[in-house]
Amino acid sequence: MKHNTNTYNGIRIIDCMNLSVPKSVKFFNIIPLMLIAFLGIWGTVFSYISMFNININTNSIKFYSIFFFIIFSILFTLPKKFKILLFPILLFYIFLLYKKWTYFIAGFKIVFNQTYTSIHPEKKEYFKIQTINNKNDAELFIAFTVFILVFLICYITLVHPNFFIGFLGTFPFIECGLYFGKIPDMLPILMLLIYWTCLITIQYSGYYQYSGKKTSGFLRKNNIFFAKPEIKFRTAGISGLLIVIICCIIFSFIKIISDFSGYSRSDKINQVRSNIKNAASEFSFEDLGTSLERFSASLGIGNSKIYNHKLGNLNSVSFSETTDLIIETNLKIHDNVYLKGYTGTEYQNNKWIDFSNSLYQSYNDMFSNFYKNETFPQDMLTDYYISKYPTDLVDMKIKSKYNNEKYNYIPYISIPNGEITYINDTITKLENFKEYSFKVSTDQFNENNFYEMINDNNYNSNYSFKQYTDFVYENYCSIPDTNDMKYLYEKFIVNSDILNENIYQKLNSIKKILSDNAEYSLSPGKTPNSEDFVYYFLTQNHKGYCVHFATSGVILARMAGIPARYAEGYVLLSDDFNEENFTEKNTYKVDIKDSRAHAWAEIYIDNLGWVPYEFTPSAAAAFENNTNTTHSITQSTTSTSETIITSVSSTPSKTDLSENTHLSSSEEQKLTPNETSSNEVNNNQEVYSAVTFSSLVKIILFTSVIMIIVFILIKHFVIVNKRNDMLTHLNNRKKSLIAYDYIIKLLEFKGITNSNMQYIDFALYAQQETENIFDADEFLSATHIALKAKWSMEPIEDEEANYILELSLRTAKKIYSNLSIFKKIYMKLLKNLI
Amino acid sequence: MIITKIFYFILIIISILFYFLYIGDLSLYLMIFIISLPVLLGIIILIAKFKIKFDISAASPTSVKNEKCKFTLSIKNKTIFPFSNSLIKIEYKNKLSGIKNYMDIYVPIHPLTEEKLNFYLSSDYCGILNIKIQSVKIYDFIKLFSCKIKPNINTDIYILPNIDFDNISHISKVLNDDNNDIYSKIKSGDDPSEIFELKSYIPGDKINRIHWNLSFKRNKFITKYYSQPVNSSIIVVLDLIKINSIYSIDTAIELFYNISAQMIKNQITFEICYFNPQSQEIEFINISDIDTLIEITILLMNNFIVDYNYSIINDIGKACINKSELFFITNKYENNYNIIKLFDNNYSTEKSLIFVSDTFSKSKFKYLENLTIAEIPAGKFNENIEKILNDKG
Repeated sequence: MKHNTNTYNGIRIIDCMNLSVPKSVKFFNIIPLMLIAFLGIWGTVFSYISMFNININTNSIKFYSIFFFIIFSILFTLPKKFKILLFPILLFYIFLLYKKWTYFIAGFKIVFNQTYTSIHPEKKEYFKIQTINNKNDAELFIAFTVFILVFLICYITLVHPNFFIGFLGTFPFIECGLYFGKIPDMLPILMLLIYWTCLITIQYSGYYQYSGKKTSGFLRKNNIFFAKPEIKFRTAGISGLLIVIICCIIFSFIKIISDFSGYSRSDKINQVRSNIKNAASEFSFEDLGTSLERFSASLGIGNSKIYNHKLGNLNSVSFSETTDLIIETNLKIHDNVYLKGYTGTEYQNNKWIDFSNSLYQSYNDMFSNFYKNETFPQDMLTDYYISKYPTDLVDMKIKSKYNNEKYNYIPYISIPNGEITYINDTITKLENFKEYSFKVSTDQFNENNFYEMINDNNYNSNYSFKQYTDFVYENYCSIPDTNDMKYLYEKFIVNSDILNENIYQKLNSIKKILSDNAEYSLSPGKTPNSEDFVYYFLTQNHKGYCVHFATSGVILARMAGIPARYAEGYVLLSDDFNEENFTEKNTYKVDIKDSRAHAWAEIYIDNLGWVPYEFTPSAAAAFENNTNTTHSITQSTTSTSETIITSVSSTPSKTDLSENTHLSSSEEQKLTPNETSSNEVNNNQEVYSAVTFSSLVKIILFTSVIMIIVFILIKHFVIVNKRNDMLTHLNNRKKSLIAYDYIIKLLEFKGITNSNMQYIDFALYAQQETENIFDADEFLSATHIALKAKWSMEPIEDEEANYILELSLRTAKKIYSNLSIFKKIYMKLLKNLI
Repeated sequence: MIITKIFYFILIIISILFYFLYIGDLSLYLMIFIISLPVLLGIIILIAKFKIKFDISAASPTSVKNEKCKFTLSIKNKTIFPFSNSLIKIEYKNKLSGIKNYMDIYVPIHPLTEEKLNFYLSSDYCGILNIKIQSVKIYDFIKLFSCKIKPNINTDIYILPNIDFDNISHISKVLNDDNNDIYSKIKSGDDPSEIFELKSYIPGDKINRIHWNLSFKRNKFITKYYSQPVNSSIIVVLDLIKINSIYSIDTAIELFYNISAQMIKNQITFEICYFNPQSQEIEFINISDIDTLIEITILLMNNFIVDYNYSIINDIGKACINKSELFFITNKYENNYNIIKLFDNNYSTEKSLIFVSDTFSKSKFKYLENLTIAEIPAGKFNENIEKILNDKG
């Protein structure tokens, strides 16, 4: 039962405490505070001016700043009676403002225009101004603003230090520039930083100009003595001054070290910056999981791959040149190798998905035959090629770097090692996804053998593959039955001769359609949710990368009657088999970077199987061949010499944003563009938009709110349970004391506190003040029981304990029932009283 | 403080994020500044821990009840760093009760100075007022870190009963021992063995008191005044026990002190008997002046807080032989046997048991009817002191 924190021991503290320090001159104590205020003023004004390159006479601004500073700093340090001088000064200011209002507004417009054009250089001005004396008006405007700023800063530094007001009053000047990536001069911004730090220090010192009687000494609350604010005047000033010195030392140290070491921002940091920017710009609550994964990947958290076959949900793609796969072979491979991971069979709602299980089940007999004969569609092409063309097989080992890898990347014309599982006609699954091996043909696809293959009518494949061909034509030529698809069909297929052409010609025509209607770009922008991906790409946006071309190619091929499907994976170039990658073990070890991720199409050739086909154009406008490019490969698959991959550099260039490799839709992104040029920086300022911050702010706010609510609920639950537990399971004496304490807390909540009254007196007082809560002498009786529990050796009867317990619960309910909804929440969840 | 640390940690995270997101040098400066500032502040606090010294002293070693006692807390800061919000926790207690109370003082510490903080306490009870600087907590400039200094410095003031020595009443009953050779220095009597003083004859003086020889020599009548022998075979014993209530201890000390002061004022020399824990024996001290009484009272208070398990009653009994009077002031109730053993003997000593209690319980004394017993409720000795002293015999 608490009455006082201290049990009275007969010793009294007399209300008379004084602190004697050696005398000091007040004037010298005020100088540090004035210096700090000056730092704030100078820092704010000249940070703003330097950030936006405001074209004014800075000497006059300096004069105004110093002049106003002197007036206000002296005024605020004089005794209270002199503060009356503020009124005429402010009145004069208002009068002058009124007189010069037109020039003030003109000056505002001029300054605003300069600020606006600094942020948006491509735009001319925001306000149309036709004044003669632009510079003078701007100076006038700034002078008036500086007046208010100086007044505010001097007040909150010298009179009543308050960091939050000081920060709120000065930060907006800086934030509006920082938000748009403007860089102020270092000296003023550092002065402002020092000012904020000093302001916190002064505020924490507890000093403020005491507006009451000019007394020194201490304030007393029970047995706690607080030195009055004016005593802390000297320590506040000296603390502030020391902080200034410390800050200057730190900043000088940083400057010296950075100059001495020639510090410059590393590319890796810029990459991370870009990653974060991109991840933030791609963030959406609809796709929260992927967005968070992308975010964590951009921050380098975790080693996970993002799997998402949704099309058109990225503004742009970029690469961080992290290694996704490590490939090791014992021999060179002469051609590029496509390593297929994912196969998309059905195009639906801007996404590539698998055929439904029910579809496959309806062809169960056919697939059962595959298992029976141990020949699968996935192996059709390999069987054909090896039987037809003499080829060497090399051992290839593939290792994935991702912990959550869920595909095996299977090269074409290869024989997997180890246990193989065939799933439907799309997936070849090996023992594990992290490490596996093949025997791969050294000869892969090129233009010649592709032409030969499609013209080979003599190859008789397995009977079950004949059935499979029927299956393919029935299912791999279907497209969504939408108006957009109909439009595309009308435009590109019906209104051309494509349907009369052979397969080879059809494919070339489709390629031409794609290159005529779109250009290659790694920053095509998102496809609006309401638009079809292919339709938007071919008819509106006209920009895209490999995913766009592959998807559109597949759709157009299907429209033209060619069974086609979508594939994603990686590309291994023949040039990767070079001396650099040759190891001591006489093997070639190639790191496949994320920039080698690619999407392409697969075309079905009757009885031969699925053949990779490249729809992505070779000479895309967005590509710029890097002079440092060491691997530049062009390999055509058609007679028109279109290329599969135009030029690929395995090391990113410093000046070239666009990598020539092709990225799959949105997965496998470890993203960092190689933008280190200042132009790029300026351009990126536009990308660094409000969307980024607002998404971040939303996440942080949302998470904070959830955490706070959870914390409150848990706390409430724990406290209430603990109290109930104590009130039921303890002995009568403790129960009575806890119940009494509970009643006291409830009374305190109602505003009835015991200020040094005796217990009985307080009981009578409380009963009087709370007529609607206690009946008759209920609380008085409860107090007697509590006193007995505390001091008496006699036992507490069950009836007594139950009486006080019931009274406490009843009191809580009565108080609760008479409250408004908000107070009820406050009582329940924040005070935990019921 | 924890909240400040959490906020600062969040600030560090924000500054690192700002460093990644903002291209200018400002972000680097800001990040390094925010990371390095706590390090410097921590160093400052550590320096302060060893360079700030504290001391506490009392204006006077003794005081009386309910009177202001001045204490001075001295803070010496040898560093250039000020600390605006240091918290000094002071523990104060009466050693006789052992109940501790605390006082918190938020005071700024100025740099390169020695500052003095004066405060005043008063005690309602007798005893030893002990003031200790329990701890001092110093915060850095932005209240991110703090350090606790435990100076472990304390000082004592002895709180004595408040007696107006000028207004002590005359004890009507003179406790005499004819075999005594000590005479009163302020009062004449009837013992012809010692001349108190010689004065000129005043009509009414007894004829047999005229100093004839001197009268002839001086050619005027000179009267002899005889001395008054004073009683020095009085023992006063203070035997206290530690119990929760300071009231009985305070009352017992007051009684002891008052009785002693009254006897000193009335020129009645007496002995005080007490147990010396160092020598493990009971000792006797003659008391004839106030200064000695004060010393003894302080000594008794000091001895009281020494925890010993010794029954003084046994040896008192032996010491009572040839003493005319015994005042035994106690707040503990010995078992019947020991009390009877002490007080129920054949010695001619007049014995008074003055029992100070918090609650009266007459039944305790049903076996002690052959003693003069005064039971004094705690806090109410004033009404009974006269009775104790003047109703003797």
